[in-house]
Amino acid sequence: MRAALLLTLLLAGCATEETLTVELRPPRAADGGPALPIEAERVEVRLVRKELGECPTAAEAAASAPSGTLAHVQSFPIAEGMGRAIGETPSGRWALSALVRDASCGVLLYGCTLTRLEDAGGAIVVELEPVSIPETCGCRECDGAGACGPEERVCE
Amino acid sequence: MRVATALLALCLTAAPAALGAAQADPIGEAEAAFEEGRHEDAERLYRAALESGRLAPPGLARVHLRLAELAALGSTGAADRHARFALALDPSLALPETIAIDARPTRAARVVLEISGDDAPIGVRVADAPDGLVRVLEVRGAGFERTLSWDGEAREVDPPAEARPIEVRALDAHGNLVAQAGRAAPPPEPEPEPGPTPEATAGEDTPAIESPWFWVGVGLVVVGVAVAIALSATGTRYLLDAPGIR
Repeated sequence: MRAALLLTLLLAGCATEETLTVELRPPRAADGGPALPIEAERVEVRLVRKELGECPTAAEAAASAPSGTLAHVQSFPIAEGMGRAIGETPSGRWALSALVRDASCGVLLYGCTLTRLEDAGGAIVVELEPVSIPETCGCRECDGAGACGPEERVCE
Repeated sequence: MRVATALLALCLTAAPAALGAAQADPIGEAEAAFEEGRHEDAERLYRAALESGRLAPPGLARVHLRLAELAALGSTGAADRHARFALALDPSLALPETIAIDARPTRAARVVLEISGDDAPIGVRVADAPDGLVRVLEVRGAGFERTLSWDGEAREVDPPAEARPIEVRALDAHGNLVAQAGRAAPPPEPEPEPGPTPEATAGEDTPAIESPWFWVGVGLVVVGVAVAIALSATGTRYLLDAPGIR
C-alpha cells in the first residue's frame, strides 16, 4: 500500500500545469479600445475538439451545427465582459470560437481560432469580425436576451 | 469492516430510493401550491418543472393546462398558447371556463414515420402539434443518433440497415417528451461468460476474505489504480481561463 502511494506521488510530481488566457478581441475604436455594436447583448463561446479540419463558419457555429466534438460552451452578457473559466482541457488541437449576439440572437461579430494547446504560448486570442446573420440558434431556442438554449445541444 | 459494509449498503439502497421519490412526481409541489391558492409559487414551480426537460405526457399536458389557468388570471395571450399545447398533448383534458379555445383538437400530437423499404430513407413528421410545441426530433437506432430541428416540414433520415428499427422522440424547447414513435432494437446481449465451476471456487467453509489470494488481488488492484492515476497526471495539464473581451 505504501509503495503504491509513493509511486503515485512520485509520478504525479512530474505533472506541470499551464494556464492559458482566452482573449476575445472585437474591432478597435479610434481610441484603441474595443468597439462593440450597440445592439450586442451576449457572447457565446464554443470549444470544439478539431484534430483535423478548419474552424466552423459563423453560420455553422451560430446554428450549433456538428463540427468536431463540442467540449465546452458558455454564454455571458457583454456587460459583464468576462465569462466563467473553461477549465482543464486535454492537449491537442482545438477550435475556440466566439459569437457576439444581439437580443434576438442574430450574430453581429464572429471569430474562431484553431490552436494546438501545446503551442498556444500562454494565450488563445480570438479576433472577432463583423458578420450579419439574422436570428439563428439552430434547434435551440433564443431566450430574447441573446442566449440560445440549451447551450450544449448540437443540431443536425 | 462490518460497519463500513453496512454503511455502503445503506447508501446504495437509500440514496436511489430517495432520488426516485423526488423524481417520481416532479410537479407534486406545484400542484400543492396551486391547490392552496399560492399562485406565484405554483407558476414558478410549474415553470421549473417545464424547464427541467424531464416531463412527458400526461404530466406535460397538466403543466401546460395549469400554466394556462394561471396566465388566464393575468393575460390571455399566453393562456391561449399553453391551453393549445395542453390539448395537443391530451385532447380529453377539461378546460376551465376562464379559457376559451376556437377549435378543440380531436387527436393528440404524434410522430408519424413513413417507411417504404428496408433501405429507403424514412420520412419523419409530427402530426396535430400546434406551432412551437415540438422543436427537436431525436432519432435513435442501433449505433445511430440524429438530432433534427423541427419547423413543421417533414424530414427524412436514412439510417443504415443495421441501425434499424429506429425510434423517434419529439421534444419541446426544453427537452420534454411530446410524442414518440418506432422502437429502437435493444442492444445485443453479451454472451454470458462461463463462470467458475463449483469445484474451482473456494471451499464454502473458508470465507474469501480469509484467503491470501484475495489480499494479493486487492494489492494488485490498488497498485494498478495508483499507477493509472499517476500516469494520467503526468505531462502538462492545460487550464483555460475565463474568456474575456479585451
